Amino acid sequence: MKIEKLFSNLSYHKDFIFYLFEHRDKTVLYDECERFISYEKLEILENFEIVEKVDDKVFLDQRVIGFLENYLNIDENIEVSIIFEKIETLKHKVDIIVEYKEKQNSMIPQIRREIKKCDFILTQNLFKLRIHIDRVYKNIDQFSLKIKELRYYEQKLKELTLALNEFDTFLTLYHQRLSLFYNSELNSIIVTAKENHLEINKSLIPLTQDVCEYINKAMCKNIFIEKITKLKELKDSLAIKENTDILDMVNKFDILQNQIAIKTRLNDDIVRDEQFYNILEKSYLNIKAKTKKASKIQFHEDTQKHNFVDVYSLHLNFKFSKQNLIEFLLSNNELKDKSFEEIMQLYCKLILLYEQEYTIEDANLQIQQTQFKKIYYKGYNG
Amino acid sequence: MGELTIDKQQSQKIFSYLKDGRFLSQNSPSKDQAKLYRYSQKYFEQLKELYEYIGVEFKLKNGYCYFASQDNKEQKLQTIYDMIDFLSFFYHYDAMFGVGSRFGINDVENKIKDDITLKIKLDRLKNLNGDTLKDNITSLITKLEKRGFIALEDEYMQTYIVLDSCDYLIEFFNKIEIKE
Repeated sequence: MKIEKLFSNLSYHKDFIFYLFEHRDKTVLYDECERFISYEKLEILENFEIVEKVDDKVFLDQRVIGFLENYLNIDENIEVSIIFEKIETLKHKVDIIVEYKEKQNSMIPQIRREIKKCDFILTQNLFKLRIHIDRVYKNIDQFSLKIKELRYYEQKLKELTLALNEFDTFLTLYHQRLSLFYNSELNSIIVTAKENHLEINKSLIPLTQDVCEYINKAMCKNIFIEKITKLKELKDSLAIKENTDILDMVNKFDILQNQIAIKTRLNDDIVRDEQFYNILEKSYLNIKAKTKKASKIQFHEDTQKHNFVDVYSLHLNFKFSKQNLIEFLLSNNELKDKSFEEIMQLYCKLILLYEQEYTIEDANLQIQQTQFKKIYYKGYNG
Repeated sequence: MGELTIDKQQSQKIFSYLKDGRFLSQNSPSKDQAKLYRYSQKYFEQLKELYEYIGVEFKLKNGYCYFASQDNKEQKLQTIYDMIDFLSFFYHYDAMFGVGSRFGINDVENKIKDDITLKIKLDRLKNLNGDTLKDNITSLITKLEKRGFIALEDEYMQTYIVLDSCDYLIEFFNKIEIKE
């Protein structure tokens, strides 16, 4: 078939092709396609091997699907094994051009394309694996199925690692031979492929870790769910105590069952109130020390005046009295209400305060059976 | 008693929250509760010593803390049975149920309408005091929420998140041995 005819047919029946491609995973009946294409034209497409008819069903040819899926990068299948075949082909082609120099011009572009393709397949499959693994772990509810799927992708991941190593070995071993042809484009593609290889290797490590972790988690969860289901069955059939160690395990179930009771003389409702702490804090802050004010004391001014003795005035009066001290005190009108003992105290007080200004004589004076020294103000003693 | 550098108000708040047998979880959507958990984690030793004075055992595990007690064995057995029912229901609803998973009341309701086994499981659960299907779901969720195993994350959408404390149940049931 000429390529022009193929493109012309694909272009002319693009709506029909698009419909078939969109429904490539479903069964499409001819009745559904009538609005797009007549039966005669369908037969023409069948002759061109663009579509395939089986009874009343119509399918898009696998090559067209493969081309479109590859081109749109939506092919979900992981195909790593193709790398090994491509590497074998590459080795063969390199051997040929080393031996038959005249083949260089036609074969080097092919080698370039194949190396590029290998690099693309490896990157694309790594990308697909990442999507598939995350999708399976997150979206599949049934754990047994989830584990099965994850194990499949784990295997694919191992294949990808092997393919990557194989490709790396090829690049390392054959780079030197290929560099002898001084094809800058070929050399540049090999350098890019080597760089990409490092990047893919870096991404493979976390992906491998993730898939292992997902499998472990899924397995643990699967076991746990099965266990809960079994425990539920045993509980419902009243056989849980006999068939499990639950009675021993109760001791290890240490969640608090009842509210913690705090002993207090306060009303229980108040203590359990959510606002209790705030009330308590508020009350605490409002507490004031209870104090009593002293009653007002009224002093009797006359009594105060009467009781007060101005010792200094007394000393000055004594200075000009020309009397001895004890007689002066006993004869002083201001002291007439004072007892003899109080007079004696004043006598002593004046001596202590003004001794330097007084003359103390040896002669005594007896008053009420008490001996007093005769004391005069200096210069006035008779 | 070691040097106490703990805040009286924080320790009081932690006590108030845990005294009813609830859990404090690290992944709680409530900022206050997450903060209290962080505080518990930071001052665990001091708080443990403090609560010991009133005869309460304070425990801190990976992502959650709670007050432990060895009393009320009969009541504990009943709680364990209830938890088996709850977990059996939620694992049937969503096999991915576990710490960090989310669900909405409406999602559970829709799933029950499509799954008769789930409906039977719900109907067989004890002490659900609702008249309608939605009320029963709410009642079930409230029970788990009160214990501190799940928390309301989005009030408007009525979505809940499973808290770190759920690991306590998983760890406990994992230890139970079933005789062959």
